[in-house]
Amino acid sequence: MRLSPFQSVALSALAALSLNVASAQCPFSLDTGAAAAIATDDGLVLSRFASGVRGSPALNNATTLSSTAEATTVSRLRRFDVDGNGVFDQTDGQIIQRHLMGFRGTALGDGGAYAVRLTPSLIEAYIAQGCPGRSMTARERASRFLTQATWGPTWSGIDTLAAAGANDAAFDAWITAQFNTPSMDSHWDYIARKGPRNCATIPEGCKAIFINATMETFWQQAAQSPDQLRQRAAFALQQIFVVSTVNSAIDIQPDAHASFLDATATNAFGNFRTLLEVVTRHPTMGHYLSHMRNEKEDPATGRTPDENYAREILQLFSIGLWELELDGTRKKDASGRDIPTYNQNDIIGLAKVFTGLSWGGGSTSEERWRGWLEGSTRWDIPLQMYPQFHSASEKKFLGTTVPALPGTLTQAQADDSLRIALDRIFNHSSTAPFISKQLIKRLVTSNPSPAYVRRVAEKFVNNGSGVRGDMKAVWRAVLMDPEARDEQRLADESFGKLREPLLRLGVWLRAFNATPSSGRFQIWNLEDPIDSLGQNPMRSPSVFNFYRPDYAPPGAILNRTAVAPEFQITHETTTTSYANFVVNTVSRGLSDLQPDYARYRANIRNASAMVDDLNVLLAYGQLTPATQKIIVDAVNAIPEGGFQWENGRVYTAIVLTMLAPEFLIQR
Amino acid sequence: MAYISSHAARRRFMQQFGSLSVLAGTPFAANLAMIGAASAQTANDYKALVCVFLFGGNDDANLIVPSSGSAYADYMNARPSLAIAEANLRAITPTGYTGTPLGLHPAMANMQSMIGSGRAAVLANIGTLTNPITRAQWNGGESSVAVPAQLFSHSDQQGQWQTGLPDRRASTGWLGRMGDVTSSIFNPNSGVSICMSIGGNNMIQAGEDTIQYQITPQGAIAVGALGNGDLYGSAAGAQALRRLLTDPRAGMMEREWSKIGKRAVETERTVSAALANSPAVTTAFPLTGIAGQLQMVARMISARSNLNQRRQIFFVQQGGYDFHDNLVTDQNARLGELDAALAAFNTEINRQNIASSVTTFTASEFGRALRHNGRGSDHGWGGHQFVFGGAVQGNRIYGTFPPVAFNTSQDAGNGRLIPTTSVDELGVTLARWFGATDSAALDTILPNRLRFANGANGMGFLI
Repeated sequence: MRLSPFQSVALSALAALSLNVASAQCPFSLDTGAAAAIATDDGLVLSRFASGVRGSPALNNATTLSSTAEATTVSRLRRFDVDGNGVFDQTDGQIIQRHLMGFRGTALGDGGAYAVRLTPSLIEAYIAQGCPGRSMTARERASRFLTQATWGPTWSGIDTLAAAGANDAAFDAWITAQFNTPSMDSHWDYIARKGPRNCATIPEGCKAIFINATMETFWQQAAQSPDQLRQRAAFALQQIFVVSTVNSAIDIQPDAHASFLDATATNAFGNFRTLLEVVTRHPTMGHYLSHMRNEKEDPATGRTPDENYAREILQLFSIGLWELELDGTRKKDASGRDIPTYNQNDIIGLAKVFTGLSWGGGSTSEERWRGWLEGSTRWDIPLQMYPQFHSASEKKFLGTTVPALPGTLTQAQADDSLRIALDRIFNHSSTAPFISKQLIKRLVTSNPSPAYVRRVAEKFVNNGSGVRGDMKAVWRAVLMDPEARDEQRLADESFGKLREPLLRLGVWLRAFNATPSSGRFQIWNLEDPIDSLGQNPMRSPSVFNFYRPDYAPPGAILNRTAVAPEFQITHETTTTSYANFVVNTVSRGLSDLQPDYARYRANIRNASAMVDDLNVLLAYGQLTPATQKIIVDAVNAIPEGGFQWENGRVYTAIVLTMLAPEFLIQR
Repeated sequence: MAYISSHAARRRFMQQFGSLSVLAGTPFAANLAMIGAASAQTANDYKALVCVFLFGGNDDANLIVPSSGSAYADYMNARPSLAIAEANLRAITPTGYTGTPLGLHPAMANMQSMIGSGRAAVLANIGTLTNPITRAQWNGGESSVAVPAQLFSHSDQQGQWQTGLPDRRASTGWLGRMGDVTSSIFNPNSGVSICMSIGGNNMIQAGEDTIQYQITPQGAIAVGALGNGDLYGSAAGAQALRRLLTDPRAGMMEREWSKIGKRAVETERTVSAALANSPAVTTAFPLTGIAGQLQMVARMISARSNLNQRRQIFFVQQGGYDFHDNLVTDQNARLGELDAALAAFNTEINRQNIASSVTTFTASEFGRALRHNGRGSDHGWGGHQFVFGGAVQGNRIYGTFPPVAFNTSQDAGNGRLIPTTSVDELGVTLARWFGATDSAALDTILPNRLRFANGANGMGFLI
């Protein structure tokens, strides 16, 4: 019989009573039977897991164990963190292995960095207690969920979810409610008004102009809109369907970007097929990837259609470069090689499909096509087909052929070409895992297990009612997956993701309800290398986003074939500038945004209470005791009664929390 | 695959015996370097390499153009909407070049004069290759000769240009491996990495042991609270901040984050002090991103003694070369910025009297198709690059300048050039000049080099 960790604890406790054994047992045995743990099997596998080795290589030579050993390990990760530094890491793995070999005392080894139990005797005592581990409070569970699903937790959000139990049912209900929550505003209207809804009542309220206006509405909604899941989901989609003002034909048009932000938000909970078409026909994307006014081939001048969009819709927006299994791993050919999803001929064929698109909204005259008609520049409506510019020749791509169209083309025929192509892309076997894996990476973890990817991709393929591409089902699957929810993963040394700079700012804005006196979030530039974030909305350097989903920093992470996308923009410069940004922003605010720290000032003479509170809000309780002590000591080092001492204490506590690795790495 | 397995074997060896032997703590690179850079042991010189990466895939057909006669007509006919008027091309007359006359893009006035004065040279039709390949082999399909995976993809070709290993999964780049081989010999007492980037994280400078150091165009940036030693007036606060930023941590990503934080804090002091105590860069640089980066390179070169560096490897970058649309206007703007920035850098290096020690080269993930798509051109393969510096035997074309027309011997389709020179050959040339002359060292830096004609001894453009 395979026991759950709780059952085995209970049994051990029972045994302790009946046999008068001094202590409970740590569940180091990973096999399905009742065999005792042995160093060369269970210890070896645990040690490997702690070093990031997963799947079948972790079981190599562990003869008594079956493939369930990994799941068993995962179910006990927080208990296996024997030195108590928050993570089941190599140090813990080695200590457990030595313990199973019979080593005791100093031979067991010391705890690792930031451990609670630094000495062998403390670790031995913990093992003697049966490795009780830690578990999260309801408020911590709520805060963690909101960290994954929103731009950042607030106390009201945490308390509401905690009151509902902060369990799967509560989270599931929250997701359902979010699906039906509208945005506070549309980006488009903000641009038209030059400010927020109530801007006319605020001095300087209706003066948002240029691309800065789009930055303002972006941040206002990220920070304040009640449809937080949509906000976070749309941001994830904007990092797949990238448009940018950098090196771009749309570098100064606030309405172009506002309309695109609205399109991703509106369709975030729709169908992926719709999303694909909305993005393809969006004039902002049409400008950015140059398929707008892309003309059919012309034998007279040798002109061929622009291949830009054909290539990037495949490589980045849908199927990716390699044929994928449903679990996101690469398919192999008979010789064991990866299989490319397309070749240059597919691109040439598909490029013909993306010809003939230009401004929507009326006649298909050449004047409108060129944008010469009064009022033809319409960022808010989809591009339309101009059949006279659409290729009539045969289009072959991805095993599909749109036959040559004889005679004078109609708009319906041109639309049909596009429909066939998007249907083919949408239904490609790689699309579900390619998109699902990226969405997991944006919300939950950079290195999801293949099983997690498969579970989400299965929902993409079929939402349970026979619908493919239902994004509501996909988001729910991403957030409600056992791998996302299991608090044991907090101790999984390779789980989680680096919070990207924009999300760190979002957390601060929301946690402390930062509000601007002007009513406008005038966060226009976050790129200063000395004291800013090195990341700015709508300012990706190329269509490859700020970072690639498969980026791994050279060294330890790349060498173990893991990825850590957000590290592509993380280096000496951005780390330093982030520290400066936090120090400045926490104390001075940002632009005319001012935070509300009243709750923390209430604990101005009780640093541990202040830090406990921040720990739940910002880091869902993950600050290790050692980190908490560093922060508490620093707060207490500011003497009561000194110049600005109250501010100094609050700022210090918040800044240090936001610079703690436990905050920066989201688990 | 011999390279990978021998690496793995060496690593295993060191892991097994590292704690028992005198090798404990000896970096992998130092051992590698001991293999055979004997010639460098006696050197008491200084050299720097500067990689200028043009992201997006620079359009080669408008960069260097056959400027007269039927060759110009072929070019004109291939891309009528993009072609540069004959009269606007900037003529170059490379020594020993007997082909059709050539002109540079009109925005490259300074490059024209650097070539003319023998300071700069052209690397013709260079690109990523796993093996030399002919058009017949290319047309024969995949089974004939292996080609780099995912040709025409930005991210893949950027990666392959930089790793120099287009036939395998790679975790290091060729400038990083060059750093592995040379840094312990030439920079044994430097607290700063031999590989320095002003252009962001990149693959080309990633070594086995060499970790690229990032610096801004304004210099190394200090954490203000640590510089002043106080956080909101508290020294204890600053000390806590330092610990949180730099202490080693458990967890894969926490470890990585803290390593970066530690490097940032520790290196900043060294670099800032070295810069402050070094001769100023006095040449006026244009106010563009690429010029600002090159100005910083010039400052780090000026600070070389204070940094204890006799070898330096720099990475700078310029984006915006993906000319699917608006090519004529955009390429003119990008190249104009590049040309002015390179000119200022050249002036400054001359002023520092160090030109013969600094070699600069351009790179870009691919060239572009000759055929036009209306207002732009699409992704290609081989392209042209520049190399310049006092050690460059300039006013020459290295490699084979390709015919600019369709269905030629180098046409992979629509005038996408099949490269005739591999990145490996460029790398070997630079590595030998840089001091990695031993064949084992060269094999480490460019493991595939001997597949190519100039992979043994380089292309000969550096003296």
